[in-house]
Amino acid sequence: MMGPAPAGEQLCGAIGEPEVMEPALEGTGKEGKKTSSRKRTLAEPPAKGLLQPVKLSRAELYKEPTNEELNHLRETEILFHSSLLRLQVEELLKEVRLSEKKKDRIDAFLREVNQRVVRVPSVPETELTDQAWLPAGVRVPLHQVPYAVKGCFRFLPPAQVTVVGSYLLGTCIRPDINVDVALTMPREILQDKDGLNQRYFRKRALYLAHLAHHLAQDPLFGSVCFSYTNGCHLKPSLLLRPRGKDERLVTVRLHPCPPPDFFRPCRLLPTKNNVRSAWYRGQSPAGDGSPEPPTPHYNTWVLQDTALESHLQLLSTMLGSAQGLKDGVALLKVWLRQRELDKGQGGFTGFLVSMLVVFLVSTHKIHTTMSGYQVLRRVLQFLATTDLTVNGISLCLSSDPSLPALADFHQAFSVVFLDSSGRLNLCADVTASTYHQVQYEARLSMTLLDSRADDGFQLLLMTPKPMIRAFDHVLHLHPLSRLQAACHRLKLWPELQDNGGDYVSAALGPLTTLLEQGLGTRLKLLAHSRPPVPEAAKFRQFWGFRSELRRFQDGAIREAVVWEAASMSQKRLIPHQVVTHLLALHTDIPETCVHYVGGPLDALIQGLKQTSSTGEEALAVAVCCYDDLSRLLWGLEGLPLTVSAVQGAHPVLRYTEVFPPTPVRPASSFYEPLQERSSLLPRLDKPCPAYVEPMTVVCHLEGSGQWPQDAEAVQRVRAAFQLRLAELLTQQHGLQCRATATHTDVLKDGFVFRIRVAYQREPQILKEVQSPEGMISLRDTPASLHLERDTRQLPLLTSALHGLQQQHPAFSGVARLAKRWVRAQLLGEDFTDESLDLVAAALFLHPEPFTPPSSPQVGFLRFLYLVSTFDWKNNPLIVNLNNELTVEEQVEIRSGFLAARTQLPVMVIVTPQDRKHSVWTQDGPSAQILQQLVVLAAEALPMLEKQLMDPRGPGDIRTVFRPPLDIYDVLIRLSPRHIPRHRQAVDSPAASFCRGLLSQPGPSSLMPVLGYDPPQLYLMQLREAFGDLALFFYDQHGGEVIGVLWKPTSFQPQPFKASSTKGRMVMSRGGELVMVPNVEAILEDFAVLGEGLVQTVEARSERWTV
Amino acid sequence: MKVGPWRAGPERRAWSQGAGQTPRKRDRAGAEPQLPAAPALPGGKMVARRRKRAARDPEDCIPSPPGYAAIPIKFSEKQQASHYLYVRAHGVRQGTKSTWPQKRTLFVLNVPPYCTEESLSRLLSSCGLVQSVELQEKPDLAESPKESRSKFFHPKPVPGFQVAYVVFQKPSGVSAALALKGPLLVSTESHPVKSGIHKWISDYADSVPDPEALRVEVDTFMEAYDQKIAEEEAKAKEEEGVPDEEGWVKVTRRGRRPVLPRTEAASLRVLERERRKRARKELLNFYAWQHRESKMERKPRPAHPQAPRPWPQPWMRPLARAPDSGH
Repeated sequence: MMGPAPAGEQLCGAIGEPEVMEPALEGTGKEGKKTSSRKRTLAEPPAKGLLQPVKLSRAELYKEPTNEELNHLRETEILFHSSLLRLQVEELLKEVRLSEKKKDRIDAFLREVNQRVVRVPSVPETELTDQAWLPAGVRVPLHQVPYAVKGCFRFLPPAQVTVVGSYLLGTCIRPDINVDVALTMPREILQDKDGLNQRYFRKRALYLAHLAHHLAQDPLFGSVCFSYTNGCHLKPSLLLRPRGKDERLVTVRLHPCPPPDFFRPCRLLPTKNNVRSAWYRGQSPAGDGSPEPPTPHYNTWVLQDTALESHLQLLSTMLGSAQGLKDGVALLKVWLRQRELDKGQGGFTGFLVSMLVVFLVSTHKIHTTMSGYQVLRRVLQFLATTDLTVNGISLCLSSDPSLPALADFHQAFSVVFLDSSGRLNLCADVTASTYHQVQYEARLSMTLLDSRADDGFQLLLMTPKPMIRAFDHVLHLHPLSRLQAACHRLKLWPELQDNGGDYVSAALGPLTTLLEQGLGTRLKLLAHSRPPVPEAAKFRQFWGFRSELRRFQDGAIREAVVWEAASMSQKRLIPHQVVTHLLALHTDIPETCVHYVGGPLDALIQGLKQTSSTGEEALAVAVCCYDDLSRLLWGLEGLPLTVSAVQGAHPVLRYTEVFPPTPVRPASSFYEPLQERSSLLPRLDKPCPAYVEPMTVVCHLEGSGQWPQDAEAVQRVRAAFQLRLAELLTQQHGLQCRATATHTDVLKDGFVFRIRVAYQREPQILKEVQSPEGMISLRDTPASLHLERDTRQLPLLTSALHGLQQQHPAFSGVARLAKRWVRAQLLGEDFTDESLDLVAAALFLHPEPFTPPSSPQVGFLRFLYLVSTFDWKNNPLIVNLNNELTVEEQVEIRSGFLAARTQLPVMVIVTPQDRKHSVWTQDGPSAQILQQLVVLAAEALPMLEKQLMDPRGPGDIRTVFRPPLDIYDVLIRLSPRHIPRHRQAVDSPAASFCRGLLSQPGPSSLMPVLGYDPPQLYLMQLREAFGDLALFFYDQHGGEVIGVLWKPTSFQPQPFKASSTKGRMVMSRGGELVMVPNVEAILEDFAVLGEGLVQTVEARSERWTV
Repeated sequence: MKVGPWRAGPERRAWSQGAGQTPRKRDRAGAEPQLPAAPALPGGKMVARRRKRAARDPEDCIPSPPGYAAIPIKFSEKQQASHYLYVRAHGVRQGTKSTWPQKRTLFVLNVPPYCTEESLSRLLSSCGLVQSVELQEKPDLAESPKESRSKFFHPKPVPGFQVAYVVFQKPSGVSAALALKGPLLVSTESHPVKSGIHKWISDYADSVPDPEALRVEVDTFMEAYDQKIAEEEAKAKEEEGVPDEEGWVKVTRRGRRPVLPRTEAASLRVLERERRKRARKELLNFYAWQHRESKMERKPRPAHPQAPRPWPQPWMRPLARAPDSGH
């Protein structure tokens, strides 16, 4: 049910909003947005045109390699997976590394900053609580609760300004270059015991506030604002950006820090208390003399400031000379950034990764001569196999007995990684769930690197993995202040004291454990069961009033919780029930504050009457009925040849029909009965009857030598079979049947099936061509290809996708949502049903770097991403159904594709059954239509992600499903009376016309009206008559408008030709007679052809004139 | 009107022009517009065109291609603008046979989709008695055997713009039609033509098949087919082993000694077998010229291709010709 990652992780990003920014003097909210857009450009394939191998002259091809090249080759062999990977890695590093030119500019800016910072005027000493000296409008970037605190503050320019961090090491990566600058506060500012009761942090904040005030007036800076490092709200830092064109070049982060050796490290061990309860809570700890609670996080934050420089020194000695290690760190940072692991509260930052590399070097797991790729691999390997939440690691080599034990740290922190001093936990801010996510991602990446089949580099480092696309369900808590109450409910006072009142970080850990416990084993659908006493009591306490005693089928009587879920979609949303219940029960967060994003898109594929289901059940009913029918066919007696196979060939039978069929119960008064053929006909005076699409079933007969060997005669014999089939089904099973020359329609339990008898050799007979000499050769003809597709390939595809649905229950939802979207954009006609199903299947069969989606929503987002980024020009989309294609075969397919690219359709989808031709995209889309789809998907994806990440924000989830209409030249508006599927529209009308259906089975057993859809009939006529002049676009699911686009090329005046007079008129232009389209008459023809259906024809542009 | 070289033989030239054209080609990649931003053609000319037409005297002759006359045609009175039928007398080159009688046949271009054979016949009956009207997707060339097509197995395609051959009973009808002024109205009060919902509903009713009629048709066809096959077999049996005047004997699959069917695959198989057999027998380094050649092979190839080897072609069995269904 849930994504495979621990459930609690969904929570962390949502609650802890990344980097709470408090605009000090100027607002900068754009930072995050810019990041994502730049990142996307990074991920896009660089090639614009068709990729062609480089042409080398013969002499160049056979030139002997130079010494340098030989060395290079040997290196590649030893240090990299393959030479392609090496090229890719080098290209990426070139892309993310800072150029020398930019470095110079940044250095110049840093010098300027240095000069200005040391010139900031000092301020005379005042009490800490007296902040009147701060000019109006400057806020102290700290939550000062309680306000009263002892101590004095004065501002003095920093004693020392040092650049620390990745910039000096050369491991910082573009985009978003950050340079960390440590400002050592002069000793005069600080007093003894400043480590206590947030005094140090108060001074630090005041120091920054004063600095910010002065720097903001300086014209050098484009923006000056505060930020919180790693989301730690006691530790603001000041962000400076240059003004002008360099604004995006660099962000300088100023971190004030204490003078060296000011704090005594032994006071800051994780077991010590530095925030007194008496001060913080205004009450002394219970008089029983119990000790003050330790404040490990508080202590760590102080320690972090003291260790800035020693860390830099360590990093530069270890990484300084080894280019491979630096490359590795840069790659790891890209890896983290693509997965959004380094962002937000408690992120796994680039600094941590650098330290991890140092650790692995010091334990000889990484050697300094290793390449960047090897470093990446080793670190991922280490992360995947080591659990730092259980077995912490330490960089400290000394065995000083005064140092605290690792166990002490484990008690205080969830993830433990000690620095070289042995006192500072580098991972203090990393939450357990973030770390588990890192581990999980590392494991996924390792399997990806080990599998040879896929382009590991692309998936590992170039594909962004944002949270909304990675997780099936996302939970938003709003307002966050509710968590304050939750903290009290969970009795988290010591944590609050430790975190300086930051209730979000205080509550995060317990909340995630709570949800993990509730959801962790959510694989069973109905209940959690635990053996009775003594766990029962605990169980009952955990689940509260929802827990009850139940007797299970195996006879056991157990404590259980029952969640109501009638349908697949509701079952998918059980976690929602669990979460709201648990939060309300344990943390007092009412349901209204929990915004659960799991299925807002479900509404788009829900049928009219089933608002509780997304149609999987209805599809299953239809498939069941089909199974019954195929059993009847198998057992049919009296056919000259027995039935050898029955295969489904309709989207319903592979669970991908957008709106599943419902049993038809026609109301006889609504129709014109045609008794002698036991059929119903639509009536003129009534609205269009409900649309019933027969489900195609292909029926193969046993082999026989009696079939004629002539195409026309085969058709007749097949027709005879269709007639006989109808007769026998009526006689033996009492089913209503209607036979035509090509198929037999059968009405069974309200579903209509269209049985097509197939003769295996018929495509071959259609292919036979006799040469004048009497030689018979086989040539593909349109008719034979069509027949082969319908009777051979379609059933194979249908059964393969049916199997896929059994493996991945979310497939149906994803495929249907994707199709719904494409059709809503009026492009459904150009993409065959099968091609879109295959694209959806690709998301499940090749999910890397994700795991297969388990909810329609996340699958749909990935569909949009795939469509908008896939390089259709240079790659076939390989859909490895049933895993039939081996790695070698895939390589062969790719090379064959490149060689034959010009003959292949624009969009090429390869399956094991169809390795060369891409049958489902043969007839479309054209390059322009595909391009349009790509553009629309690229627009829709960020919009939808934004809406899903902010469920309370403005905007409607259906926005991305509404097509842009302003690009069309003519709009033909249709009357809803004659649109049978009107209620399926994206914005479903509240009321529509009666479609002649009964809610109860009626007496009529006549064949209902089949496949009668006036808009489709109308479109067929339009395309036939005006296909040369215009393109027509329509949403078959209840669209009320047809978009018409004139083809500019056919509007060029042409000389008269007897074969191309269609809809044109002769005009004399400059003394010559030319043919031009007779647009006015054509516009009137639109109305004439659709009489009764067309409401208005709006010509919106005059682009047709030539 | 500028006619130029057309004057000499307008009919023949025009005919060969039109007829020589390959059927309508749908150039997908090229012909479709740029979707996101279709090139904006200068607007406002439409208005100019409308004005020009308004200014023109309605009696002024409508421009028509050389050799053709233009007749305006509308669906009904309600429509403002009209399409134009381009008509001329049907004629073909000397010596070519045509399905339609010369002189009495009117060739009509650009027949709108809603115009049926009946309505065209009715519209042109004012010019003279109409014998037959045939609508086609495109003008056809030489005589084509018109077999009656089964409505069950070859359903009528959805009509677009079509061409028509109208056969009058007398040649005068053609000349009268060429002088028609129009506008013709396809649907009138007295003879309404169905379109839109009306048409679709009646089409749907027509598409509901009559199983009995279908059965009858299948049975008659299969009877005829079986008879034909039987006849062919009988004929083949008769000819079995009887030499013709040159002494050749026809061998068939159904004879006493059946042979392989004459298909491409089979002949390829035979060729391949022969090739393998020869490769087994052939000595590659036997003759002096073979030595020379194999040395040459190792060097870069000469610019001109090698002369064919003086080696006999594989001897082929004269394969029998299967009885031809056509003769």
